[in-house]
Amino acid sequence: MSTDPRARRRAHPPPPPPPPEAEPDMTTMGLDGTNDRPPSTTANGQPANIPTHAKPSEESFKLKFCTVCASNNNRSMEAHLRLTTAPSPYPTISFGTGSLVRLPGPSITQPNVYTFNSTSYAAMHDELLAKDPRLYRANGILPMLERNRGVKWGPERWQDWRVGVPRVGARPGTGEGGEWASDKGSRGTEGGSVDVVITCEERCWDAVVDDLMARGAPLNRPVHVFNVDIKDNHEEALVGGRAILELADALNGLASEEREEWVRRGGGGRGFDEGEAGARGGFDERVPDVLASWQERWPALPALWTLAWF
Amino acid sequence: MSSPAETIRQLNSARDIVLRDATIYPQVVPGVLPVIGISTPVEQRRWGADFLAETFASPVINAEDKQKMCVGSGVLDTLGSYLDRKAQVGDEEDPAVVKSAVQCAASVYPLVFRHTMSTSNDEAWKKMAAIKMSILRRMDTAPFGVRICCVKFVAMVVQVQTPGLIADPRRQEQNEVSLALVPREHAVLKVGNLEAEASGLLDRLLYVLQEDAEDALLVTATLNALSFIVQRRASISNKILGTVLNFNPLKLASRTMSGRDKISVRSMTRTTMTFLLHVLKRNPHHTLGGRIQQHVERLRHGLIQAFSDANQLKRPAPDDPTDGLDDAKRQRVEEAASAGSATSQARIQPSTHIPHGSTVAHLFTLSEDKAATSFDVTAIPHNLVAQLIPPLMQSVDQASFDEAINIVKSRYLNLSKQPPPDAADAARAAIGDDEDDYDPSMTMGGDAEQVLNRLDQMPPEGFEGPGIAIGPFKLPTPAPLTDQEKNEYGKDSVTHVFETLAEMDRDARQKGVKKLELPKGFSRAPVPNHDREGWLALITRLATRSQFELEDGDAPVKQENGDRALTKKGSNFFPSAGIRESLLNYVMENFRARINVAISWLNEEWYCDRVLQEQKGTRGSEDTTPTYVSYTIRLMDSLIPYLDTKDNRVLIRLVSEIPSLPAEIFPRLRKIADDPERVNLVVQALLYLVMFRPPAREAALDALETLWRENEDARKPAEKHLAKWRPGVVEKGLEDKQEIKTEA
Repeated sequence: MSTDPRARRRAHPPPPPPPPEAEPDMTTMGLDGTNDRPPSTTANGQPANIPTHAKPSEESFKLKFCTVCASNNNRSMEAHLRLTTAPSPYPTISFGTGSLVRLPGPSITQPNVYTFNSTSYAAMHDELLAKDPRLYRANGILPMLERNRGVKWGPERWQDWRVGVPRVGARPGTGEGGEWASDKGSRGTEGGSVDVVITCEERCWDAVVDDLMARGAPLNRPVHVFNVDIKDNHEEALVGGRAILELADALNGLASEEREEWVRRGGGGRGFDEGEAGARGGFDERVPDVLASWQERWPALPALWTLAWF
Repeated sequence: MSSPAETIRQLNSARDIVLRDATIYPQVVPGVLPVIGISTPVEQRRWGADFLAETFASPVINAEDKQKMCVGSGVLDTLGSYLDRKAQVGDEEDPAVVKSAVQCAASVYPLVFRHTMSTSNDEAWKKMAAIKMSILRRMDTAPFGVRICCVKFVAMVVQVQTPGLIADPRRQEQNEVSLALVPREHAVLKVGNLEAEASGLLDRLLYVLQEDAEDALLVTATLNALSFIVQRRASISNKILGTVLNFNPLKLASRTMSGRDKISVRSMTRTTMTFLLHVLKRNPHHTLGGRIQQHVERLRHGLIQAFSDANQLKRPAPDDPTDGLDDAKRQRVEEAASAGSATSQARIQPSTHIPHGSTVAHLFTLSEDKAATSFDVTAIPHNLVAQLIPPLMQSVDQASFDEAINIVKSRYLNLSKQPPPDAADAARAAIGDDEDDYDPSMTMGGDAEQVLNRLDQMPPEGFEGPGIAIGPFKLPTPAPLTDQEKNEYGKDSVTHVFETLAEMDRDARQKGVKKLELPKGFSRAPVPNHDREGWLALITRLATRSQFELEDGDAPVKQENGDRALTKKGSNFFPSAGIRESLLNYVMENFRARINVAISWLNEEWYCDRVLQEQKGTRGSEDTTPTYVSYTIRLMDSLIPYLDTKDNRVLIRLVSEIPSLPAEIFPRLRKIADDPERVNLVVQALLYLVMFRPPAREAALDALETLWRENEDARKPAEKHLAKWRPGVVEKGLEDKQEIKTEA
């Protein structure tokens, strides 16, 4: 697989826009999504002719996501898989905030412990398969690792993530087989940063926000950090993954709508001057709205959000 | 020019290359600038703004290269054109482009600052100033997405233009860019102005928190952006913290919150808490630590309260039952219903066997319903019962009545057959029926052996046919102990008692001198807690009082002897003598430290002697305290050889605190004075008795006088005191003494 973004564009058909929400201004989405050929000239303020049959040019615009849980195994990986296998796959990376990867063992006091960044899912899978195939298949660990190794190479630790360092070529310290590009959702995240972080537990949200404060925001890049409280078991992870995908769809719909709206109107000037811009509201401002309506649909997954800085 | 899509494809491949090799950024960036300039399509400008923001934020490019790129190429002009599009071209710039441009400006600001500082060339600084003005202008009016980036830009300006710490003044390039690096008389950068500007901008940032901020986006963006400044800029951190501590996002919490408001309030509150906790985490001894802690707690409580209230609103109030039946009643009805079904089930199969040793009530109880069986029928008056029975009897179903009678009948028969008690029961009785007991060792799985042992003692199950029923199992009573054995065991137990005491001494020594606050007064329990004092009290009383009860029967015999300690150790041996011996040894092992033990023991002895005397009714002519006297003398005899010249305190304490001074004690005291070195010891002890123990005064003076007469060495010190207390004797002087001597 190539890391060339052009290849991605060729490979995937344009995704259908996310289903319209209850938001009144979202009802125009379907229309917007199909008729936003960029104007050929915007510099002169002329609206370009808009071919209604054209592919949405903003197919290329995708919010970049990052999912986070404690061990980067169950919840964040389920969400990672969901986001990268959706009809319109999102650039996605995922992390764990724990100090070590802990997987259930034969008893609660004997977990299987691995190090982040240097143990692959395949290695864990093989080790546990050798240890006790019956136990680990029955408690769902082996199937989970099978899923994970199909998504990316191995668990990564949030605190060790150097934001902004390009994720191209081989990942450091993994030898062969650890190409970033072979991860699902790697295309689009080559720049090494994301727009949205979604944690799966309040503890992880605290860790992420605290860590970002400690880093001192050297990149000056805003990032929406969400928490979606998901219990750490396979069933809840499935439900949570679906909910996270829905949230991602809503957010992405909003963001691309904002961008397309601008282009459709011919690059500003008309009705989008400063006063009205505030009233209309952009992507960032409407994030709480999106989250609130999402929360109504998923009341069992208490959400939390903040705007932090990379 | 090719189509925008084609151009962007090319641009993307350029980006791919630089992402893989950061060293070629300096060549790529200038080459890209014309393609992303002000007159290019919006897609290209978006791409360009994003690319510039990414480039100048990238951690893989070193600061020197970035600085050269931003000053050397036209990056600043491009940024400026994005921000000033309206003035230059006449229409608004896309917010997405502006957003990235502002991000890029924030990253570039310290670079330009450093460049200006080192070169004093104000060209770039002027461009940067224009960009800054443009950003500040739109800060309050732009779309929120842009505004948050403006907030971050302003935070960066504040960070740069406030003095920070200089880690190493010799290595400028490694220091964080801050006003502290700028020399006072810099040609372009006027320190005073810049600092004032930073202060003003900080106020502007904090304004968001001082207002009743409703917009969670701005508030959280501001808090998250300020966090680093609090860490790194000590001069303004308290100002920021003060504002944050006064910021109460829960003010907005009300009962009629919409979904968005709830999310906003919760998010702002949690972000504020994280902000404050982060400050505490960085510096646990922060001067505002107490307030921070307090504020966080308040927010935490407020959050719980605000959202639990909200929850209550959703539920129909649970306390007011609408149908007039409250939950308690409803439960009771249900319970009764279920209980009813239980009894009907129970009636079907009441056992015809009832356990051995049951009461008559068990014999007749056919219900297993707890409520029914625990009901006390005798509480109902007889006349009422008489009225109730006939109608009840009529309503009883004949078949079930017969069945019940049959059951009781067969129970009675089973009981009267008196089944042979089986061995399993006997074993269970011997071991204790702990089937139901919770045994933690069982769950640990470690004590399988123990479990097996226990099972071994049980007879094999299914082996209890009537033919081989074994009689009740009884252990043979042990053979009576011989006197010698009793003696040995007694000694052992005494040894144990004193081992415990020794342990306590050791503990006390290891723990250091720890004075326990003892309860004062007479009613001190002998063993209030398991400490040394309590244990000693126990031992002394064991030694002195243990025989009271036991000896009641043959007390006269003992008292003939007069000294219980010397009683013959007969069949009712009690190791009091052993305890006394051990106690004496214990004191003598370290008599200086343990003299108080000896004193309390002797007091006990004296007390017991007196009580015994009273019991005997021989209180009268003279007090006899035989045990006390004998042990006092023994103690003195053991002690005297070891007394040192410096042991005056020990001796004085002993003679002054024991309850009475038997006459035999004085010759022994005098004997100490035979050693010339210990004369003073004796004289001081006697003097103390003379001065502070009036009942013993005469006896002590006699001893002193004898000493004076008979002991050459003691004459001088004794004379001094005698002269005061018995002046006559000294005046008469030695001739008397001579006489006495001759008489003697």
